[in-house]
Amino acid sequence: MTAAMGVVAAGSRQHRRRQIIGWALFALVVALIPFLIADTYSPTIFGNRYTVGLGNLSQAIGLMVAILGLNIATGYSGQLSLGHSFFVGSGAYLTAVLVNDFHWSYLATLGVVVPGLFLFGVLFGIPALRIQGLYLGLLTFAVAAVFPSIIRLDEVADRTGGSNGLLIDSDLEAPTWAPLEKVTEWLHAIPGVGSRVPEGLTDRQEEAVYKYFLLVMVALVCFWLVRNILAGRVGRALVAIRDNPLGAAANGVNLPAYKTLSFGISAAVGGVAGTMLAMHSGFVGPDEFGFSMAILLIVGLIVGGSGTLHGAVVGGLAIQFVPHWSSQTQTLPGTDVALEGPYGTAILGGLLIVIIFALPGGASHGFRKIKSRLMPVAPQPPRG
Amino acid sequence: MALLDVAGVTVRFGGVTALRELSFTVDEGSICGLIGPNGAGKTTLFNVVSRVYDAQEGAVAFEGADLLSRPAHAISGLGIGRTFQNLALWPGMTVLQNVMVGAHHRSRIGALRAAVRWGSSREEAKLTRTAWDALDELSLTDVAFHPAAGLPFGTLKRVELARALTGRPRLLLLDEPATGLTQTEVGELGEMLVALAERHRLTLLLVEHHMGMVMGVSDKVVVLDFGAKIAEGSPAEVQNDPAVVEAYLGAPQ
Repeated sequence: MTAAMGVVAAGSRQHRRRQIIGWALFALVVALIPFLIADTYSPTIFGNRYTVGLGNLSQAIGLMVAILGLNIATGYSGQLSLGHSFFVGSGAYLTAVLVNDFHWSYLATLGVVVPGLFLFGVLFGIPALRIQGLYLGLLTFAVAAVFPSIIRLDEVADRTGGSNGLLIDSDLEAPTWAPLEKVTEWLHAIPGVGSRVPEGLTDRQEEAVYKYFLLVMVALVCFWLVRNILAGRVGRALVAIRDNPLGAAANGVNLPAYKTLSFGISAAVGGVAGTMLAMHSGFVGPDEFGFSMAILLIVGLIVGGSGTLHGAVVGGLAIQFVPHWSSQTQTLPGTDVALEGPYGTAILGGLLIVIIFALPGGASHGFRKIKSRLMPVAPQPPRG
Repeated sequence: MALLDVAGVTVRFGGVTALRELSFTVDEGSICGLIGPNGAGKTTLFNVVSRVYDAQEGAVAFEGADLLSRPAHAISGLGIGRTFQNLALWPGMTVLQNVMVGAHHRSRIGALRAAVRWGSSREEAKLTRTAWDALDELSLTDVAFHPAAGLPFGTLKRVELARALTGRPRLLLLDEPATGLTQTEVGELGEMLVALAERHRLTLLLVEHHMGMVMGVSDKVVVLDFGAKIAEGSPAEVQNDPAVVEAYLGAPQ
C-alpha cells in the first residue's frame, strides 16, 4: 500500500495542519460557490443543457439536514424509519404558521420546532420499542403517507392553507451590513474565475446568496451538534443497539431509553430541516412532504452512506441534483435520440442499484477508503 | 453470605422446561464452574441472571438483593458482567470502541451535554484510558483500532472479556471462554482467568466444556443435566459422582 502523503499520527502537528488546510479549503469553496452560481450556471454536456442554480443548492442543504436526522434513527440506531418526511413537514409547517400568523422570524421558530419535534419523535419512538424492521418501516410509512391529508383537514385548513399550501409572507433580506455586493465586485475583478461572477447582484440574487449563507450556518450548527452526540458515548450506545441489542443491554445500555432518544433527536433535526426548506422556498405545500419525500430521504441515506455524517452531505446533493439533471437530459447523451418520460427517477433508481453493488457502504464509504489510502492517519494510543 | 444465590429457578419455553428448580450459590471471591451436556440449561441460567429471560419460578439474589425485578440494562451497573458463547460484539465499531462501551454504565455524559461538548472530551479521554488498560492487560492493543470483526474467534472472545472487565464487575459470567482455542491456549487461558480474578477481586461463574480447565480452576462445580442440578461440590467430588458419569457417558447397560 503506497500512501501518497505518508502516514501521519492522529493528533500530531502534521495531522492538525492537514485538517486545518482541509477545513480552510472547504470554507473557501462554501463561501465562493454562491457567487459563482448566482447567475445560474448552465453547461452543455453531450448535447444536453444542465443547470446548477443557487436555489437547487440551498434546497440540497435543507435535504442534507433532513438526511442527517434520518441517519440518527435509521443509520446509527438501525430503526427503519420511512416516516421522516412527517417530521420535516411538521417543522416546515410550524415555521410557516409561526412566521405568518404570529410574525416570528424564521430562526426564532426553531425555538418551538426543535423541542416540539423532539417530543413528536419521542411519541413516535414508543411503538418502535415494540416493533422492528419491516413492520416499523410500514408503520412509519403510514404516518408519512397521511401527512398531506392531515394538512388538508378542514379543522386546520385555515392555518395550513389546505391543498393550496401556504405562502410565507416574510422575506429574508440581506442586512445592510452584509458586504455581499462588495464581495461580488471583488470576485468579479479577479481575472479568469471572475468572469463567472456577475458584475453586481440583483435584489433577488442578493436575497438568494444571503439565504444560502444562513442555511449553511444552520446546517453547520446541526452537523456539529449531531457529530458531538454521535462521536461519543451516546453514539456508541446507538450503534451497539443496532449491531447487537443483547450485548448492548448486558453492558448497561438502556435500550428503550436510547431508542426513544434517537427518535427524538432524529425528529428534532428533521424539524430543523423543515424550517430550512420553508426558509429557502418561502412556501410550504402538503404534497412536498408526502411519502415520496420519505422514500427519497432513505435513498439519499443509502447513496451517501448510512451511519456516516459525510453521507448526509452527499445524499442531500444526490437527491436534489440527480433527479433534476436527469430530467434535463432530453436526448441520449451524444446522440439525437430523444428521451421521454420520467427519466429522473429512473436514473436515480439506476444510480441506487449501481451504488449498492459498487459501494456497499455508500459514497462516503468509498471516499473514506480513498482518503485512508492517499492520506493515511495512524490512530494513537491514549497518552498518560 | 453468598454473592450470587440462585434459589429454585424454573424456566419454561412453551412445553420445554429449560431449568428445573435450580438452586446453588456462588461465594464471593470463588470460581464456580457450571457444566453439563449440551442443552443442559447453562446458558439459560446466564440469560436469567443477566435478565434476558424471565424465570417462571424461583429467585435470584445478588448480594442479597433481588435480581429478577431488575431490567437487563441495570445488571451491569450492579456489578455483574458477562461474555457470550457466540459473541455479542459490535462489528460497526473498533475493538477499542467496543471495549469502551463496557464502561457505559460508569459514565454519565448524555446527549445534551455531549452536543455542546460540556465535559464530554474529558470523560471520553477517561473512557479511552480505561478501555486501553483492559486491552493492554489482555494483550489486545495491537488490534485496538481494528473493527471488531474478521479477527480470530479466540481474539474476539478476549475482546469480550476486556469489555466485561471495563465494567469493573464483581461477578463475571463467562460463557465458554475456551471455545476455538488450542489445547495449549486453553491452559494459558485458565491461568489467566485465575490471575485476573485475583487481581480484580472477581468472582467467576464459568460455563465451559473443556473439563480439564474447569476442574483445574474451579473451587466448586455445579453439574446440570436436562435443566436440573445433578451434582455440586469440589471438582474431585463431582468427577467421582455416579450421576455425573452417567450424564456424560450414559448409564452402564
